[in-house]
Order: sequence, then C-alpha cells, then structure tokens
Amino acid sequence: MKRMRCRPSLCGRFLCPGAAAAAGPGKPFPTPQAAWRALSTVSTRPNAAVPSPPAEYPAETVVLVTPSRDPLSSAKLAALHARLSLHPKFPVQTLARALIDQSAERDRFFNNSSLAFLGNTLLGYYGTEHFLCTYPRLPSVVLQAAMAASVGPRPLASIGREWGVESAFEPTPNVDAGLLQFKRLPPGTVVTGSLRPPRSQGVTDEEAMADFVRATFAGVYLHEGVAASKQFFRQHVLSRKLELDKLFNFVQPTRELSRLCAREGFDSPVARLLSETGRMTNTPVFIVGIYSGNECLGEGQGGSLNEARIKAAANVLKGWYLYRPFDTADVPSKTDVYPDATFKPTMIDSGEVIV
Amino acid sequence: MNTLTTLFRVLPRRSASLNFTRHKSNSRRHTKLLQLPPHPSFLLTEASPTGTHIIRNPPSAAPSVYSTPSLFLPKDDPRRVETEPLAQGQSLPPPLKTPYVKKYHLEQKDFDEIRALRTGDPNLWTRAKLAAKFETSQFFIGMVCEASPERKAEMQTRLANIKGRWGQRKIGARLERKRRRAGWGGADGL
Repeated sequence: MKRMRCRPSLCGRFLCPGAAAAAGPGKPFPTPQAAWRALSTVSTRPNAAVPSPPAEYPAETVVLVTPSRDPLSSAKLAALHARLSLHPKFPVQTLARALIDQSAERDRFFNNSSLAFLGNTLLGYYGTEHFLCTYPRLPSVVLQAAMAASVGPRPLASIGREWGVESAFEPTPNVDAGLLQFKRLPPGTVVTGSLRPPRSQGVTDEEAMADFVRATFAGVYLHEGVAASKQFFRQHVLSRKLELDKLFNFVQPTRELSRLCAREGFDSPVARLLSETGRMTNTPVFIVGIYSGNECLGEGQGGSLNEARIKAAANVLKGWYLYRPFDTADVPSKTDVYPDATFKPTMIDSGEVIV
Repeated sequence: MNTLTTLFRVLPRRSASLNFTRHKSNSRRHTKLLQLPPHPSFLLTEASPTGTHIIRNPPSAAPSVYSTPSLFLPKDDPRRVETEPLAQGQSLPPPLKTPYVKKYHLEQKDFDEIRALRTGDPNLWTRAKLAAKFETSQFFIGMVCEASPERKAEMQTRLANIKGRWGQRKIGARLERKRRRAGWGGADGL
C-alpha cells in the first residue's frame, strides 16, 4: 500500500488519519494534480492541460491506495486486455477509464460517459445496418426488438459478464483498476419510468456493465480504427445467436396474409389440409398448408384445424418478412473501411402490411 | 415411414418381462433383432448414380421459416422458380373451407333495406338473419350498419348476466383458452 492524496468524495469513509500522521512532514508527496490524475486514468486528450481539482476538494487528504489502482500495474486489466485480444495500440489506461462509471466519478474527462455515448452510437449504427441489409423486409417493431436483443443494455451487460469483468463493491479509490466501478442504487429502487433516480445517485449493475461494453467498443474504434471496430462487433455481437423468428407476434395473421396477397397481386391464400391424425381423439394433430395458386407458401401444425390454419398463416408471414437477399448485401459502412469499394445498395420494398 | 414399418415388423410384439435378464439362450436373438435393415434411400438400385454421390435423407421436420417460398422472392432473384401447372390427374390437398369468390351483388337500395330492418327490429333482424337473407357475411352486415347504442348496452347486460353465472372452472378454462389462442400468432401468450 502506498499513500496518495485523493479526492474525499471518493474515499471519505476510507480516510486514514493515522496514515496522514505517519507520513510526516518530511516525506515528499506527489503533487496534488498528479495524484488526482493517477487515481483516474490518463485523459484521452494528451495535449490538454490536466484540469485542476475543484476547489471543494482539499488537496491534502491522504488515503491508502493499492498499487493495482494504477492501470499499468493492475493484473486484472492486463488480463482483460489480453483476453479480449485487443491491439497494443489500445492502451490499458483507456480500458481502465471504460471501467469507471459516471456515478463513481463525476468528472467527464475521467469517467466513461463520453466513450459510452460514442460506443452506443457505433453499436446502433452497425446493428441497424446489419439487420436492415440482411433482412430488408423486417417490420419496424421487430427491428426494434432485434436491436434491443442484440445491442440493448441487457445483452451488452451479458457480454461484459462473459468477458469476465467483475464489479467493485463500492467505487472507493483503493479498489483495483480492473474492477467495474459504479455507485449502486439502494435495494428496491424503482428504475423504470419517470421514478428513475438521476444517474449521480447510482445505477444498476446492468446499466453500468452495458456502459463499460459500449465504452470498450468506442476505445476499439478510436485506437484501432473502423475496420477493427467492425471486426470486434462481428466477433462479440453478431456471433451471439438471436432467434429472429421468435420476435414476431401477429394478432390477425390470416387477415394480414390476405392483405399481403392482395397488395402483391398473388392469388388469394387458401388453407389446405396436408395431413391429420387422431381426429376423433382428444389429442388430434392437423397439418395445414397455405397455398397461393399451386404453390405451398408455408405449413403449420396444431391440435385443431383453426390452430393449424392460424399458425400456418403466421409462418407464411414470417417467410415473407424474413426474406434474405441472394448475395450478401453490402452494408453502408463498407465504404468507411474501403473508400474505393463498389457499393451495392440493399433492396427496399413496399414495407410491412397494415391491417 | 418405411423405417417405421420395419421397426414394427422386427421388434417383439410383447415386451419382455420386467425382470429381463440376458441368457445365453436369448442374447443372440435379441442382438440380431436390433439389426435394422438400411433405409431404402441408402440402397443402391439401377437408378442410383454410378460415381460417388451424396445421399440426402433428412429426418422429417417442420419447414424452416427462413427458407423463403419462391413466390415471395423478388422478380430478379436467381433462386426464383416459376411454379408449374398441375400435371394430369394431380390435385392439390382438400381445402379447409370451400373457396368462394366475392359477388359484389348488393346495391344502395339493399344497404338501405338492411339498415331499416336492423334499426326497426333488432331482436328479429340479427346479423345472422340479415346475412342469410342478403347472401353475404355477418362481418359485412356489421360494416353496413352498426347496432344502436341501446341495443349494444342491452346485449352487454345480458352477456354480463350469463358470465355472472359461470363458476371458477369455466372462467379459468376460458382464460386458459384465450391465452393459448394468443400464442398462435407467435407470442408466448398473454
């Protein structure tokens, strides 16, 4: 343990008056600015002057700080850096900054708020272009659900946990720099809607972890470039399985299918019984196919004729909406990586059916 | 189907006794019984290709929604194949309901008459009766003229009286049915 000066807002309850006395007047302390800076991480603005601590924090406060508080000597940070296969251009200090939530550190030059904002924008962009170019007919509600299920707070927090990031119990200055530091909300706090407390009062574990993952994405983008950030997105987000066909919920599938066929000029759909078993028992199974002209568009099975017919109509609609273009569609961000590349725009059709 | 019939053929009709033990006398017979003949698609016939070829015999499963039907592919998609007309003697499976063509046979005077009848004696001229008389659907009658607010209120009271006589089992069963029905469109239920 070495003695350092730090901000009382972070470490008020961990003040050690004995240590201050033991330090003695003759022992040289680092300058207040350097100590304050070391507790956070290196600012991403290297040429800018280090902001001086606000006047309300007396510079002479002394606290015990673990050596691993320094990002360069934290084993956890180095391990996380290696585990994510980050490029050496990605400094470990940025990773340390990504782990500091704005509820733990108010100064925006030392917390991850700006990185998380950039990361959220990148994730939204890459996610939207992936879904829109791969499934050009996806209804907007399903698109939103798919986005929430792939780059929303819950999946991102799950990614962070899978990376092996652990949370500090409290964001005190003596915690390891490789732990996620955020202020926890008291148990039972309502975190939805307008009753949600301001960020400075604390955040949930999930939100803090999601912000860390967003900030890491932003770090990859800033330090390693566009191509690396796209690869990082492919490896860590698109590699996760998402069952898109489970996100649909049709209220009136048969009616919607009729409207679709009328709009597109197909023959009106006819439900035909493909096979059945046990009609006179209490557990019959029917398989119904929906035909337009001579072509079977989809099948559904159920315990009653109505159930099979309605499920078949829902499957046919899923077949329509989950259409994928033949050749892998180009995503717009392709030209960010290769400016001279030829870009083939994705298909745009007449949109979802409105009943 | 062929595998299944073979299974039924070769497996013993009656299950062995509960305390089944293998003896020298029965072990050979039981081992040989489990030797199933190969599926017909694996057998080489005159029609099979001569060189190395792939045998595709997937287990029967519901079709995937990710394989888009040919009709739904855009015109310029190379995967699109035009459906061929039915061959001689070939027919489609039977429809669940007899397909019909909309007639569009009603005129303005018919609409006026429907409205007059329904407002005049709603107890006699219900949607079902009007639909039968004018050879149209009950849904269409509802589109032509709505019931009066008094009539609606009266029917709601009547329905509430009927529901008031239901017991817990009936209420629960109907709720359960509604929940199952909501799952048919793709969701997990209410």
